[in-house]
Amino acid sequence: MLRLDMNFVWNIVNLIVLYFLLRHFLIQPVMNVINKRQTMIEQSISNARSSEGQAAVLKKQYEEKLATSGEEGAKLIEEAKIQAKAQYDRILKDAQEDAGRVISEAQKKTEADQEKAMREAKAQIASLVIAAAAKVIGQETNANANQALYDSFLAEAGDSHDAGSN
Amino acid sequence: MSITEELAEKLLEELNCETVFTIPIFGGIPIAESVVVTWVIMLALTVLSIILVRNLQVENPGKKQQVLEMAIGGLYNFFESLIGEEGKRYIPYLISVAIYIAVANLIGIIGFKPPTKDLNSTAALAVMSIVLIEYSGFHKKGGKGFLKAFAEPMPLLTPMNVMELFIRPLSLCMRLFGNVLGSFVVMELIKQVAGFIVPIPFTMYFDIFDGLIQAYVFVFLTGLFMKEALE
Repeated sequence: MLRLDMNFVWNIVNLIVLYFLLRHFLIQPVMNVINKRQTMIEQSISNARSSEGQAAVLKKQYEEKLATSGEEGAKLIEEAKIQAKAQYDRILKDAQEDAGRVISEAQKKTEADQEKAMREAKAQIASLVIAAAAKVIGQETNANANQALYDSFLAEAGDSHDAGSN
Repeated sequence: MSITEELAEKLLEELNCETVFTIPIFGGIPIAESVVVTWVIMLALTVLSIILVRNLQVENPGKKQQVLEMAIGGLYNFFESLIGEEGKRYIPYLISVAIYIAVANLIGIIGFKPPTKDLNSTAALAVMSIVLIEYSGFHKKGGKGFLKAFAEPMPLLTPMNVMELFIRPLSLCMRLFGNVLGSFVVMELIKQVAGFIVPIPFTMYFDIFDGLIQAYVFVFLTGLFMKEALE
């Protein structure tokens, strides 16, 4: 029952052999598979992390781009508005100037017409007065001298008349 | 011959570890039953391993592989948490021993005599354990550190530490041997008294539960001592 002999040695040999057998045929293959899976999982997790980071960076870039494009759009619209306003102002000013010119030209023309009419009227009146005066006087003196005389008279009278009307 | 005598004779016959055969060299080398049963266990475990390990896949493991991975991975994690990163290289040995003792203790169920009932077998296990424990300490600390470790935590305890060198394997060996032998004797007695159905609950406890507990205790203590040696 309690014996200790050569079989002790055989048992040790058996144990060592069993250790190598089990290590080679059981433990190493199984642990290899487990470790491989572990590394695979870790790899895919890190891959997922990195692609997540990339996606975040891209998203940020897009958002920035979007924001800047919005700003650019607003700026463009603003510029266009300013330009449009300037053009509007310019056109309006041109139009006003044109209108003013047309009006002033018309006024000038009217004034010139008026003056011309006045002058004609003066001339006619002068000749009428000369004729009347000649009739009154009954004699035809130096027509040219008289003409000058009446002209100066009428000019004075017209001036006083103008001053009075003004 | 009275019944008691008959019982005693049968019991002794069961308890004896017979020499199965003798190798006829060097004046005859006796080969005990425990050695032969260990060969059987080795063969069975190796063949089973080869069959189970076939077609292992990293992705989509089958049910068989999941169970295998759970068992081996569980044992591996258990020992890793016990002896830590430094003792990683000793884990395969501990796993092998755990599987061997568990199978050896349970093999009584299918009619073999458990090898662990033979003192030669448990002594071999215990000596291997203490050699490995001391080797791990030696490997970690080197010759000087290994010798210094005997004077820790204080020089006064050096005799204790030296004694532990013998007490530890002795206790490991005797604990396993005594438990298996004791449960074997009890089971034999029960079988002699009532050989039908009655032994079932007892065999559940003495053969299966106690056998597995002893396997656990043996490798757990070996791992624990190794952890101590590695510190």
